[in-house]
Amino acid sequence: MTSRLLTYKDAINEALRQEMQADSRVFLIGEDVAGGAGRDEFPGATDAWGGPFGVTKGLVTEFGRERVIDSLLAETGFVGACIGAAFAGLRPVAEIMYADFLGTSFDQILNHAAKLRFTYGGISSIPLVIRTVTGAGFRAASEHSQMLISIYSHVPGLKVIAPSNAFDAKGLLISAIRDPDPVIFMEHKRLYMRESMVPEAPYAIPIGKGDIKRIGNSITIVGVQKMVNTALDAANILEKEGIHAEVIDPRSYSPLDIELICESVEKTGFLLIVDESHPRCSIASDISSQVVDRAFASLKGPIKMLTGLHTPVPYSPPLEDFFIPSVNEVVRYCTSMIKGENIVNRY
Amino acid sequence: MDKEDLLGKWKLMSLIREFDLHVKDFSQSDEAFGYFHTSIGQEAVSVGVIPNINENDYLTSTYRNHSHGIARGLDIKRMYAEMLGRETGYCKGIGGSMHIADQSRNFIGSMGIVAGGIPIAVGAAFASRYKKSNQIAICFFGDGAVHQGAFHEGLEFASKFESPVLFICENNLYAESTAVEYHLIHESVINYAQGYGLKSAKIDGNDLERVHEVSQEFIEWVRRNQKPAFIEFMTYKMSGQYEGDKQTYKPTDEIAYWAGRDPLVLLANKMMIEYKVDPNLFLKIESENKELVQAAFNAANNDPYPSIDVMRDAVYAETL
Ligand SMILES: Cc1ncc(C[n+]2csc(CCOP(=O)(O)OP(=O)(O)O)c2C)c(N)n1
Ligand SMILES: [Mg+2]
Repeated sequence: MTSRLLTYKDAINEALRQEMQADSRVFLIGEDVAGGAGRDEFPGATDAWGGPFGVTKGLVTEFGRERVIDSLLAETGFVGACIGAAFAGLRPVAEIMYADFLGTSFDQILNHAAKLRFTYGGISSIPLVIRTVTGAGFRAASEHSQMLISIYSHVPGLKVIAPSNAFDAKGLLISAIRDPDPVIFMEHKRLYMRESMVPEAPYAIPIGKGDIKRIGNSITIVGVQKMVNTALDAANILEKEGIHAEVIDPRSYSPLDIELICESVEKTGFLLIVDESHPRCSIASDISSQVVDRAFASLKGPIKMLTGLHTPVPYSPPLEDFFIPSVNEVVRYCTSMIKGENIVNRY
Repeated sequence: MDKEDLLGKWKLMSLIREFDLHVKDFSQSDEAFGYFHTSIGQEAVSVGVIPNINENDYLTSTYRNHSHGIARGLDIKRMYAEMLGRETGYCKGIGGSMHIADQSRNFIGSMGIVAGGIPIAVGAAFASRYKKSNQIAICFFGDGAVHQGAFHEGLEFASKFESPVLFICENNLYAESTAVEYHLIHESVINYAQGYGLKSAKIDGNDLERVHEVSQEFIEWVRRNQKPAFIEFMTYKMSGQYEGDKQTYKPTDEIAYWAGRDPLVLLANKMMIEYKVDPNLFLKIESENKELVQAAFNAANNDPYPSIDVMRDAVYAETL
């Protein structure tokens, strides 16, 4: 397979394009996913928005307005309609511009997308993808910066994916579109421009399989989405101090590859979970409790969570920078954990 | 309104314009961060409506809030401080450009979630009725907001529970890149208001005098009758969705048409013809406002950032 460097954003665009080419049931709908396509004359079609981050740019020119649809500004309406369309045999890919706006369509996701199969006896299948944008660090303040991965992972019936690089993003989005169940696909806004090697041909990465991003035997660091990269940067620094960190990217949060994490902890004896989301009832606390349950005997010290704070995401740069776990903190946590030093939790 | 009144309104519109033009420039500089949404072209709505409310009336706005803030009398230095994330900002730097509001003056909030402020303004109006305090609420939102459940349920609540709120839809012809001729099912959003039994009107939002007159009448009506009402102001988002938007979705003839309907130009022309106002006066006001804005920016830019405790203390009213 020929590979080349591609941004996270372009990898997602490519996955959408290839799945739309392969399967005429796949269509996109969301606010400005075409961008101004509603008008008959469609001014600026070739340079139309393709969503606020340009992720779906160019798709309307290839697939037309019947398959790349500018929705109304009504998430309950179009997400709900996608559930019905999925029931009726289509493969909708809905875009919610920011994860923070999922709230406006939450009932349709929580009570309907997740349960339409279960409640009626496990008969139907709802092959729906909801793409959305997570993450802080954009100076976008409290309503445009949340992660919310844990909220969706809490709900049985939903699958939740949050890739940390372009390669995973493409392969996992293709799997999500082909999957028979509703999938929340979370894209981190600060990863969009990050490049990695991505094969040109379509490929599928199985949902529910974590990935070891770096092999090591001193300590296990689990990163959540963008924090995988923070952990990898920290691991490079730790290496110079003789600490060989193993970095794990769960990639899917529901289902979660807890076995992979436990196997690593059995090898290293230490576990740090780095998640930019809030600490309470979080992915970090969930992984921590599952590891205690399954691999307690292998632990050489307490599991640590390095997370955002129990505050909404602030706007002011020094506050937001403090909110998000940094490379230096990961390094400090790891060295202290291995030395058995006490760490005061930041949250 | 007499000549002096009109001049005062023009001056306020010009201050908003100069503020937003400064923001526009700043947003393209290397030091800038965050999202900036200006109201260039929509100033007549804020200036025509907001000075008509009482000091203790409630107000909600959106991420496109600079004009509402300035028309409400907010200090532009503290507004800029908020946008620069400084502790002296109206929200201590926690909210930023999208969320400028002064809660100490019943400016409840500027919601980044479209239509998020609508039911909240309704609730403040409901409380005023409950307390018999004779306050009202005014609630600003865009044409895109009418698709949200929060809009419909908010209007219905206000109608059913006779809450004294004035809904102000600034129809600027676009919700992001999506034109109203595509996204609105009805020709006018007041069809929805009428469906919920609200007194309503659709008005030229670039005609300052008309905006002032109609909103004054509606505000008095809402207060007197303790019932909701609704005005749709037709205007134009001259600077696009956010600063940096290339606006390729706009037809060129439309841009040209609305350039000729700039609310500052319309009012200045009228005053030059009807009141023989010297055109140089407008230029003078404009350059004074430019200086005010620059001074506000410079001062704000020297202010300190908030400490971490400021953010921690802001989460709960009760210290945990
Ligand atoms: C619930 C929700 N969905 C989507 C968005 C993203 N968004 C921000 S502004 C906007 C368009 C709003 O248009 P309009 O109400 O006409 O206000 P304008 O920006 O034109 O003033 C959209 C879709 C949002 N902020 N909230
Ligand atoms: Mg609009």
